[in-house]
Amino acid sequence: MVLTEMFDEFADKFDDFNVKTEKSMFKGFEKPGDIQRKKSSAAMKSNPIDFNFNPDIDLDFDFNNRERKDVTSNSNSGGGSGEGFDINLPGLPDIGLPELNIDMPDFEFDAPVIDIPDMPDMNINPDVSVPVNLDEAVRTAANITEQAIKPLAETAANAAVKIKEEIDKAMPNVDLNIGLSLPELNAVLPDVAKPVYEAFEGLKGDLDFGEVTAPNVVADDGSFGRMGIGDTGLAIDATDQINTLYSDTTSDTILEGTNAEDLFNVIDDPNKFLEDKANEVIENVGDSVIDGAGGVLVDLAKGATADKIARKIAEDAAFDATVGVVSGVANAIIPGSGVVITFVANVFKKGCFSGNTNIETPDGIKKACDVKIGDDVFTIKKGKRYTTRIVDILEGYNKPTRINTATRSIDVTNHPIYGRSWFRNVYYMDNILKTILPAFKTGLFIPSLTTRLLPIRKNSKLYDANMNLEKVTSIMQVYTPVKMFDFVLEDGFENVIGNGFLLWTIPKKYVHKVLKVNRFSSLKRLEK
Amino acid sequence: MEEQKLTNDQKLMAYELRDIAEGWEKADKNDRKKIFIKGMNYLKSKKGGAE
Repeated sequence: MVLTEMFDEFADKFDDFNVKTEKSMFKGFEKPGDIQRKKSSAAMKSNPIDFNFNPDIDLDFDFNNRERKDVTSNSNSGGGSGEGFDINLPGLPDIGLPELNIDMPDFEFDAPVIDIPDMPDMNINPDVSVPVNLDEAVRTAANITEQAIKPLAETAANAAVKIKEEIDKAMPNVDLNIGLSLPELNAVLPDVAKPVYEAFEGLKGDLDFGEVTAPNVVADDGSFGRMGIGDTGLAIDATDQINTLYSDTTSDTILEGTNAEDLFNVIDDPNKFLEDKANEVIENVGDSVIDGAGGVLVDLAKGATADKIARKIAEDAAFDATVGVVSGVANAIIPGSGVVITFVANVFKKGCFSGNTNIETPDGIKKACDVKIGDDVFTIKKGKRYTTRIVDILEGYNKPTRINTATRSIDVTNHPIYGRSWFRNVYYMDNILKTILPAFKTGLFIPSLTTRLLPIRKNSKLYDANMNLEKVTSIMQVYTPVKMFDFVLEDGFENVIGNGFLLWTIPKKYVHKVLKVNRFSSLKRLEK
Repeated sequence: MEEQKLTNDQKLMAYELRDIAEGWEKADKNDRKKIFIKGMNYLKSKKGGAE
């Protein structure tokens, strides 16, 4: 019988007789079944570093066949009156001297030499075997626990801590991913078994472990499904149970067929999730650009110039590259879900540039943090400078990237897909003109190239707002979160001039698209 | 006014969901997993109730 079943059985037995046990250091473990566990402590006295303790050692009392026998005890035992059992209380008569013979768990190391403190004296006669009333037996056991077993257990626990410390010293990077069962863990590291037991009991409240009575204990590598156990560095692998719950929860819903890990990760850290998933879906963006190429052919037929076509591709693709990828990723996880839009909105809500950015306005330079809704700012469209109005402002805290050139620097948010490319409309245009346009002129058009927005690196060349090239001299990561901003402009304008650069903003047409299903957005007032 | 239309059970569920949501921001990743599981159980119970 495994320990956890034993705990429950014996706990039930105790409840029946309304018997209270003494509390000990093993709070949470302190059920009568623990007496067996304390045998392990006794075992450690006789052989302190011998792990061959059998946690499943047979008990004299068979909980699965507990027919009540004739009552022979007195009737002055409280709740247990008249209900005595003729049993040998587990752990009493032969405590400290169990015959131990089990297979060691698959866990090898050189046991360090450790000085175990002297054991306390134990005034226990190993030959005692007296049929007792259960209540009396419990009182006796409690006394023995307090006088002898508890100090012994404390000593053993301290020894176990030392052993674990020595293990850590000897093998600091050892991978404990060996799938220990709780009894096995109890045999090796009893001080770790307690938090494992408590964590397991807690999880059982929320997850259905079915017939599983001993959790699969693994190293806590932070991966999904591994539920960390305090600061032990261990985890209970509950992947199967979580997936089952998720499947039950999402069946016949729009989430059916998706998986729990993806949903958790997208909620936990959308940006990281996007980075992880970007490569998986980037070809989907290529498809959208191919569609755009069809439009290009139509434009050609209408006599549009190649330069205008290239710009159109650039503008459309720059929009699609962000919205397409983000939506593509989210749709891949949650098909047809409004979560897509909420998710996209959350990405943009982190803001794009810091409050210290110098924004060019008709009234002069203003810090981004000082710009208000209704203010006019300068923008550039098709190479011409216009004045446009700010209709909303997004704010959020983020750790920006500082991009330095020879003449200026700017703090911007890392793009969730392409890294430091909120300048993409500038840098991207450069690539379009240099690569796609010549290819187009020669009849070689490769749509997928338009989706390869290169991240900005040292020595990258950026156009500033006056179309002068600036070489990136260095890039720094700012580790302190700062308040970041993004502006929503009047329809038709999608960038502002900040620190002399052309900074992409969230298009109003896109904001409206977001707002159609994002009822939590602060931008709701824009929807009319 | 909206709240008055809710049954007590619905209110309790709403409060529960709110508590789950509020705990999220402060939780570390491991605790977020637990919240995530609680959230699933919440949705499952709600789903079961609808049926």
